[in-house]
Amino acid sequence: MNGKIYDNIVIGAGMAGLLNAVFSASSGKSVKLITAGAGSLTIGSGLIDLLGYSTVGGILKDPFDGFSTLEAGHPYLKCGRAAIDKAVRAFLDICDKRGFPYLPANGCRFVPTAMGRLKPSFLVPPSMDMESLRGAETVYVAGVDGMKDFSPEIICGAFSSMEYFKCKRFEPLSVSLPELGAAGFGSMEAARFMDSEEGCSAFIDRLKGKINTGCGMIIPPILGSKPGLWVYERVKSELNAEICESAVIPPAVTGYRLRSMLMGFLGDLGVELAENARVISAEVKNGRCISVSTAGPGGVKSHRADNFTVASGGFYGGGLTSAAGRVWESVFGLPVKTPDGWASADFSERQNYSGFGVSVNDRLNACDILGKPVYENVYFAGRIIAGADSPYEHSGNGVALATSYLAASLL
Amino acid sequence: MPPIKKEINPDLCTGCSACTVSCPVAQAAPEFPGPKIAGPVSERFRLSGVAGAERISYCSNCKNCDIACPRGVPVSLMTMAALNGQDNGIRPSLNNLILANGPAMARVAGIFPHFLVKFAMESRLSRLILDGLGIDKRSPLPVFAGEYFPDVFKKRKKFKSDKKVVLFSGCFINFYDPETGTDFVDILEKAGYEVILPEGLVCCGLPMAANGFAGKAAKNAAVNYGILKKYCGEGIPVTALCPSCALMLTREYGEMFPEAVSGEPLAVADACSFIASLMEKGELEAREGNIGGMSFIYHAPCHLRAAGDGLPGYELLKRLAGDAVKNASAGCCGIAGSYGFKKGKYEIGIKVGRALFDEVKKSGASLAVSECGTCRVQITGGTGVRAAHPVSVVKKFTVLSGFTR
Ligand SMILES: Cc1cc2nc3c(=O)[nH]c(=O)nc-3n(C[C@H](O)[C@H](O)[C@H](O)COP(=O)(O)OP(=O)(O)OC[C@H]3O[C@@H](n4cnc5c(N)ncnc54)[C@H](O)[C@@H]3O)c2cc1C
Ligand code: SF4
Ligand code: SF4
Repeated sequence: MNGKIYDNIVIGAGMAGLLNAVFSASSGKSVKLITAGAGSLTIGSGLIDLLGYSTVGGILKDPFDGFSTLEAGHPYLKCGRAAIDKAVRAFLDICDKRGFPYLPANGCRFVPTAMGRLKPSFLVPPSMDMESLRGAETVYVAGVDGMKDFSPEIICGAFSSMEYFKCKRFEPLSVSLPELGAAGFGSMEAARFMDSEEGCSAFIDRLKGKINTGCGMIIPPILGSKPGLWVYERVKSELNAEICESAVIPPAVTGYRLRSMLMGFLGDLGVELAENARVISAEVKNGRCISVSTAGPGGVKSHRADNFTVASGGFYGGGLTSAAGRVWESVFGLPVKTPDGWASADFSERQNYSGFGVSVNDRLNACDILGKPVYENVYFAGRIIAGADSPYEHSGNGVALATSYLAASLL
Repeated sequence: MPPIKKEINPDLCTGCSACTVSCPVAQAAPEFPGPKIAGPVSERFRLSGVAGAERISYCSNCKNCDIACPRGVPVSLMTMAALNGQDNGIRPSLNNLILANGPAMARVAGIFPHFLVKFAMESRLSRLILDGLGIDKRSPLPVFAGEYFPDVFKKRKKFKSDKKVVLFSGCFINFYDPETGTDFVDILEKAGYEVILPEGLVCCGLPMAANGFAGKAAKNAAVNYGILKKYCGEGIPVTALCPSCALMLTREYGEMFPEAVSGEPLAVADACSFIASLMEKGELEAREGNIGGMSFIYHAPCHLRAAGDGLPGYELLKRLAGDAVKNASAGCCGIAGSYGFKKGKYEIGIKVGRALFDEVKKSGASLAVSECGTCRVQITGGTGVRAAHPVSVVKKFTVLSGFTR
């Protein structure tokens, strides 16, 4: 038994767990973060979608316009608008403070994707905002020779025929960075190369002369792997062009940057971090959680705290476990309601299983069928909460932000 | 018969690539296919009798892939198993043989007077000979100590007590760094514990398994397990100074050699974690330590992070020395046990460690602190900054009264 009693033990190091640890430690709480894996932010886009599609269909211009269509039980309705606004401000403050600013909230911001679509997001780093290309007549879509999963031709083809882009000319372009090998590398490898002086100047030099000044450019997310805007600023100013990094299939560098920023902040805030540690059980007494246990080399160890925040994700993160016909929450074994028909065969449709999770009250405690909290000092945050079909409505990191903030403010 | 027998299910893997973006070797050496390909993806081929990806020997066994994976896939183990010739018949080379057999080398060196050993190991000629055998002449090879730790310990005045603790000191402490072993024993005795250094313990086996000699490692596992199990059964705590030994003795024995270690897994406490528990119980007091103008930069060994118990040494240092301690948080040092000593891997190790070296130098700290012996060697080699195990710092605040400088 570890003697220390923390104010908050956070389970999971995805977007929700990292933010909850940062928010609670910033307000002076003693925090320990226990995580089995690196969390989906490591490979995700790092874009914070709030609500991109209305639940009754259609892209939203402003996420808050869609709130009236949210079904009862949606995590945003538990949080309320005021808490969401505060969470957004708190996130932007952190980004500013850590030298990796995101753009202010201003309705949905659109980000180009490698599939040739426009993705409605909400909080976006400046390097990914499509709006920056507004003034450019010519937009070059520049790929890197041999890079996986990014085809300038596909993007040009799709965007040229979009109403949103009428009056713009799209041209495919290709940069060669043979230093990365002939083929088979992804945006992460290229971004790491761009971290170096050699890589950054190679990219700039090989584009100069191929583009005209004042143009716009869409490129894969390769402007450095570290949290900061210096590579972006430098490329932009030396090429005299507006630049927009696109969202790509995982692993995407852009989430990795945000994760590195948050991890660095956690360290500076004195949050204790236990990696490669899976919480295997919890000790509960009189409606409260006393401790959680992990299996380490010294045997099973329990960790005590006054509060626990479960940010263990869904099926991917390991927060939910399933067996034939049954789903439960992994740490406390809480039952998860599963309507008939888990999945729809059409992947563009809403999927029941995306919304599977723990039912919570407006204090983010798990609650039973009668709405009574199960453990009053255990809070849930992020994907583990029921009621948001985030891949469909584009709300994943938004739910993680809002709920992790609310849970931290309830401590 | 395959020496590493873990039931490996590659289908646990969802292909998310979190492991590959977290692999320090894949970052430094693009020719390495990375953990996802070397591990689960190739495993599907290997299980069906087809060769997997090439160049998996680039894997340094640092275990950052395991730390990143959300699915609990034993990524590094798959690669290690494959490297042990389970399916692809890769033959271990001479440098692997040398690096896997530190204790045997140490026994040979122990026959000669220490000044000769020191001279022979540091001389240009012998580094050239070793270079020819595949141990890079530029690598910061540590020098055998004049007197090995078990002998130092034997000569020590016996301290008897009803409170007993077992120490698995490990090869690095035994042959290169007996002072750290002594520092830890001083602390334990100060807290009223009699330290037992069991006869007959051998190398934990990790360097063997990592260099392609899993069969030999399995034998060592059976020996150590037999000895330590007895103490665990009697409720006498077992501690280790080296995080890699601790990880091997506990989690990895069961995963790699379930037949050699039948029964309960061993519980082996990290030295600093044990010290922290003594303080909690009031058995050891931290004195008002005099920091003496020192500042410390802490490096978390990857195998300590992989053990899943946080950073007890860092937390302890923070408690004792406050803001004078900073966590470098700069990832793998690049040495990964014996990896960074090898020809062809030395450059990769240096490249991996560069972020850490920069952080250590930038900190201006007077001492680097890390639990792992080879991490310490690599840090000093890469920065010129002296490095110590946290117990050596803790001793100043518990047994002595701070630093005097
Ligand atoms: C590839 C990808 C791209 C995405 N892109 C976007 C996007 O562009 N915009 C957007 O808004 N959203 C996006 N999302 C969705 C969004 O990332 C997730 O909804 C959100 O990040 C969920 O975060 P989380 O912290 O709740 O869960 P996760 O990120 O899944 O983290 C769960 C954490 O808990 C740990 N854990 C689980 N069980 C245990 C246990 N028992 N003990 C210890 N630790 C445990 C896991 O190891 C992990 O670290 C994307 C997701 C993915 C996978
Ligand atoms: S053990 Fe280390 S070097 Fe080997 S694949 Fe995993 S992360 Fe890479
Ligand atoms: S992190 Fe785990 S699940 Fe993801 S690709 Fe690697 S082994 Fe597979």
